[in-house]
Amino acid sequence: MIQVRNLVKSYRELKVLDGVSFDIERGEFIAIFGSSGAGKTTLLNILATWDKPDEGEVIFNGFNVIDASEQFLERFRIENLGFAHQSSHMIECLTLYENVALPLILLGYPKNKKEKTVTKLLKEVGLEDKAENRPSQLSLGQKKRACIARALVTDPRFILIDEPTANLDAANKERILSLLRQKQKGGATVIVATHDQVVTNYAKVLQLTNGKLIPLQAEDGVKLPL
Amino acid sequence: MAAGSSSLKTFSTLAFLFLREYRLRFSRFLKYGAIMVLISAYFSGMVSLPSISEFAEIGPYEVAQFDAYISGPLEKPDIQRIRSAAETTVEGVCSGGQPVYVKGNFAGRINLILVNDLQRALKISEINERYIRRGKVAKKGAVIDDYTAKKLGVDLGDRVTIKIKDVTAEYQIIAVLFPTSVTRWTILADYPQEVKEAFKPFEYTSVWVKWKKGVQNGVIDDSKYALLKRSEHIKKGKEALDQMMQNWILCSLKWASIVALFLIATKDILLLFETRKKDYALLLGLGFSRQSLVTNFLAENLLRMTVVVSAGTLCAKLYMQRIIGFYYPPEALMESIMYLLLASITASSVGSAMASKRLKRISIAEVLAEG
Repeated sequence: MIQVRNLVKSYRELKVLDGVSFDIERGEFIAIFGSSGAGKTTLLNILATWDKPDEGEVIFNGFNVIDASEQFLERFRIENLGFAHQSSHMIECLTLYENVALPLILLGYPKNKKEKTVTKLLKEVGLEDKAENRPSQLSLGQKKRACIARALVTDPRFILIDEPTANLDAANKERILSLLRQKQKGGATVIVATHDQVVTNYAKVLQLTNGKLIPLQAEDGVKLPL
Repeated sequence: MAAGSSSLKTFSTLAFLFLREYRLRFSRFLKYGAIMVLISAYFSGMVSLPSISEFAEIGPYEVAQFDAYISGPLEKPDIQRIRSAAETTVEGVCSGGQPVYVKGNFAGRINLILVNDLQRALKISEINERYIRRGKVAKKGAVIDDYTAKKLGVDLGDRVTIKIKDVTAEYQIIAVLFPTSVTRWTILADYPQEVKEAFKPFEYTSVWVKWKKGVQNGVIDDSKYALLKRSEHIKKGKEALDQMMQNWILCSLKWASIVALFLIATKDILLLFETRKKDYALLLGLGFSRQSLVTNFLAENLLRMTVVVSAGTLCAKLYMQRIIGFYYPPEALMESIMYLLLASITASSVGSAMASKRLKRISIAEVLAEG
């Protein structure tokens, strides 16, 4: 379970998050929905422990990660979190396969298991034929899918994806969202930040507007106004 | 144990990762590395100068001035030597009462060196013939061959009186030469018979000795050496300049080079960190520890700098020997490598410490959001 309490975050004068609070149960699929600049990425960065809020708490299974030590967070990230950042950054000198396998190397997976896991995942995101390509040889959509695969490769308990459908065509959107739904059904908590209405068909929606959260108990199939 | 094994695995993963980067961006790193090698080579030459000046080249049967030093940067004019054209056969009397033959005079600033590689020395000597100017006569200590020395029963430090034309000067034997296998009989062609006789056992044109420290050089009774004597003022001025060159300029140059290399290497390391900042942010975000990244960065830079400095110093040695014909003695090479390694290792440590500080301040989200 994730409990977010009164998150406040400002960049100089600009208040990006203004007292955001919500709870997410284990195994939920949450879409943080909002227009550009609403604070979705900042909120996701804080949840992923990549950024710190000015005020507030983020509690994962009863433990406030905001006050946690760096050493704890290093272990926490690799063992519990799978995060795909909006920028889809990949290490240029590695192949797509190696980029996706990086977290497994850190976890010390044996070669065979690593190969099996990565190959399966690349197939699921439709990149099995690009495994030996370098990031510079991939399109933006392919990079996005590769970063999602990297986030999912350790089978984390908490999956956080920023703009999962950005630069994807309809078929690939469907493929990625189905994959996330499948992970959710497997017990993972999935949180995505998006401005794409399609995602709302798959998730419970939290709407973020001007740094404030407007909880809409949207069920599957509910269309939200842009 | 498990933690140690895990750290090792992380370290090797990172090492593998960045080795791949070197392979992939080979041309960039080659260019980058070549610049650093050239910088090291240049500084290596600077560092070696004071060492080189401790040695001197001596011609056969010459009276030589051994206050050797090198002035300025390593360019061809700096290895010019001035050799006397005066082919006066002189007959002196050493302290043992036996005659000593001294043929020709040698003067000038001596830049060439050889201690133990005679063949190379002779090769360099041939190259340097092009730069020899004639017309000056030297003064100060006398050099004799070991055969003559043994024959006469004299040794280093003994005094001999030498008569050149109308001038008599007392010399101290300041070096003993050892013959080589290189033959060049023509050198004796115009010599008086008694000189030829004396020289006969030695088939060489040039020999090289390591200067023995602690032996006093120079004319003992300078007043008798009127022919070559300069005014006291010029002499003192020159000596002061020599001293300054030796002790101040060269030493300053050496340390300035070391400091400059340190600064350039530190800047280079920080630049490398900046180019990798996004990758490091991503690795941190994935769960790699800052400590492992810093350790890896430090190890990489230590290795990189060691390779670059060693390659640079060897390039400098090759350049000086092959292109300029300036012998670069092993002692100077070792000293240069030692100083430059010290500078680069310090730079690696300082650069990595600064990078570590920056890494601690990194906000993963902000770095990845840039660009």
